[in-house]
Amino acid sequence: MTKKEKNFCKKPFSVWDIVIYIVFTVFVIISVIFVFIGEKGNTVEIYLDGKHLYSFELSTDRVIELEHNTVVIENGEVYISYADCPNKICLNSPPVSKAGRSISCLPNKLIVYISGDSDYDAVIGGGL
Amino acid sequence: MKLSTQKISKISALLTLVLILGIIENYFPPIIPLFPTLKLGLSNVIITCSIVIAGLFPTFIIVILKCFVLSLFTGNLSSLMYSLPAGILSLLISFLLLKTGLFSFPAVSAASAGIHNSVQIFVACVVMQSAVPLLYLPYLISLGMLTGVFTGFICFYLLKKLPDKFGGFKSRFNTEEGKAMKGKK
Ligand SMILES: [Zn+2]
Repeated sequence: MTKKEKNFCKKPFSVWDIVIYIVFTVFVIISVIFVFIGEKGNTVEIYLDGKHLYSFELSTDRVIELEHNTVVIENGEVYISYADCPNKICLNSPPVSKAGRSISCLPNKLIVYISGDSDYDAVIGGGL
Repeated sequence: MKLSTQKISKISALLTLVLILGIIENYFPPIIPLFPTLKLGLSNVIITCSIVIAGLFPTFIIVILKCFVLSLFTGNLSSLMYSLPAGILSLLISFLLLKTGLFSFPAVSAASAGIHNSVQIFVACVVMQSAVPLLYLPYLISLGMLTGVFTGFICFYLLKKLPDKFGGFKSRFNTEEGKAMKGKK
């Protein structure tokens, strides 16, 4: 740091701060848009070890008990209610309902993927 | 870069403070269970101060040692995957923003905390091979900015009150208070 007087040692605020606050507000707005875009999915696809195991209607509530995990479809949302994996990331994942989103349990090689009506989701949401 | 004894003791004193705050924070429950390494960032007060007091390179060492020691303390080495990139990137951001001399501490640490939280989310996306963690972005960036502004204020008043010989504002910069201090001697 130089001997030049810097803004940060004069006051706990500066006119330039507005730049930082605006940039981050824009980030927040973009990420809020990301949360709300996407159409509702309609089918829950369950993959185990890369193989497609089951497809279920998202609209019908059910509990799917697998060897290492339990997947729950409830009120148009999917979440994992039981897992024997060490990291429990899948248990802590938020419920998903939009097309193209997924929950995975990597230690147990489980992927729960939600597909929608259009091909658009298959392309855009492939990685989601 | 040569490390003088003075610098080493400065680093160890700052590191101790960072670790104490980090360990205290470790007892708070995680804000979001999906991101166990994401904390309020109390130790960022010391890290931001350290950039001014000790400089970039010593602070870099402090950040890296903090990540390693805290992951050993919690016994969760995989948390390094989250804490190291987030810590290093947010340190660089705060350093560059401070270097411009335009921004105040609350804004700098808000930006730094926002970046810190975002990096953790991106790492989670890679680890989980899913974009679902991105759903937390708006919440965690806003939270980071709020806590960042708070820690930035603490940082400012801490450095303002810090005595001359420890490298507070008074000794480093030609502020009015600094001049007054020199006049007294
Ligand atoms: Zn799991």
